[in-house]
Amino acid sequence: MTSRKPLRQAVCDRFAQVELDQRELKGLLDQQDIASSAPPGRPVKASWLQFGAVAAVVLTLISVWFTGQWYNVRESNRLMVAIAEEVAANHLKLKPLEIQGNELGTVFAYFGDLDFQLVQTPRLGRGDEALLGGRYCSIQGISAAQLRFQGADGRLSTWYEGTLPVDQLRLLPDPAANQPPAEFFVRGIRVHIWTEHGLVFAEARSAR
Amino acid sequence: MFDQQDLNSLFRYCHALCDARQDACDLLQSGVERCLRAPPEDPERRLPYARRVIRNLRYDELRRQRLVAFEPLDDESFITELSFNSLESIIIDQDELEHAWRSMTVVEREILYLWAVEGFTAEEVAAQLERPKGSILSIIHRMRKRLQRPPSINKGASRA
Repeated sequence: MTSRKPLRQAVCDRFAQVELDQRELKGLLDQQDIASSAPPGRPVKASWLQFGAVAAVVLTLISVWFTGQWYNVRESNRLMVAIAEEVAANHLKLKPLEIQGNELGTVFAYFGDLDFQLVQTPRLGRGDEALLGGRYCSIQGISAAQLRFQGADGRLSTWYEGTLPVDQLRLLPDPAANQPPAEFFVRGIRVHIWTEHGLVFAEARSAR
Repeated sequence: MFDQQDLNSLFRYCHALCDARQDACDLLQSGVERCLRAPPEDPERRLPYARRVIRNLRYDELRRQRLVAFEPLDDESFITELSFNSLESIIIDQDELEHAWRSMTVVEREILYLWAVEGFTAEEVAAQLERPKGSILSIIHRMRKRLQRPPSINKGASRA
């Protein structure tokens, strides 16, 4: 039978012998030394998790951007190929001119039923080609003007000036934004397509 | 962060929670590791912080083993006046304490340790354990009744 004492004293006595031995103590002190010698900052695990999350977000944004770009390029290409097919076919058919004349102003005046204003672009006719006349046509189902020129060597070229919905015009190269006209070869015809002053322009001439 | 004195104090706390030397040592090591990974904002409060970390670790472990006993709350109206004063008058020998200690729950051992060894008041114990003061007083009340029984009645299976 041990001596009786107040409960508090008995509990204190019970724990008085509870101590870490030297080996355990050294292990815990060493554990702290190793941790304190590590570079300061957030726990590595958390940092990597944050880095991973940021990287995932960045990669997602990049992939969304590339997907958007790819979609735009694909849509742009699809539209321009369709226009190139259309104007090349028109060029080959050489349907009769509805108005003949070598004065651009006179020929332009004929196209009064268009729902857009024809624009005289510096590219038109290349200077050494003679205007033969024009006729109504359509580009992608929308009324447009077709002008026919003849060069000194007798070769014919046809020019198309029309309009398209704004979201489609945005897909076409704009020389004003330092984007050269897109070039296609369709059925032996060289076709250039671009946008200018809010209109779509196309030029078709023999590729030879 | 922790000097030799701190570590021994925390080790005794771990021992009160585990009542086994090796378990206490493992618990202390895990607690120190956790504190080093996420240090307290106030270095002066490192010991209360470490005790809370250690306590959470121990209770997580007990929950995994389904060994945590839920303490029913007694009628607090008459025990609020008792506080730890009711324990001060208990006279006991070491054998009786050992018997009683083995029959105590982990919460009871923790409360008794914080009061007797660390000198905590009931309010401080309640804050450390993050429990209402009434709940702590209720546990003290039950402990007192058990500690005042004859030793033969105290003998029983050890509880977590």
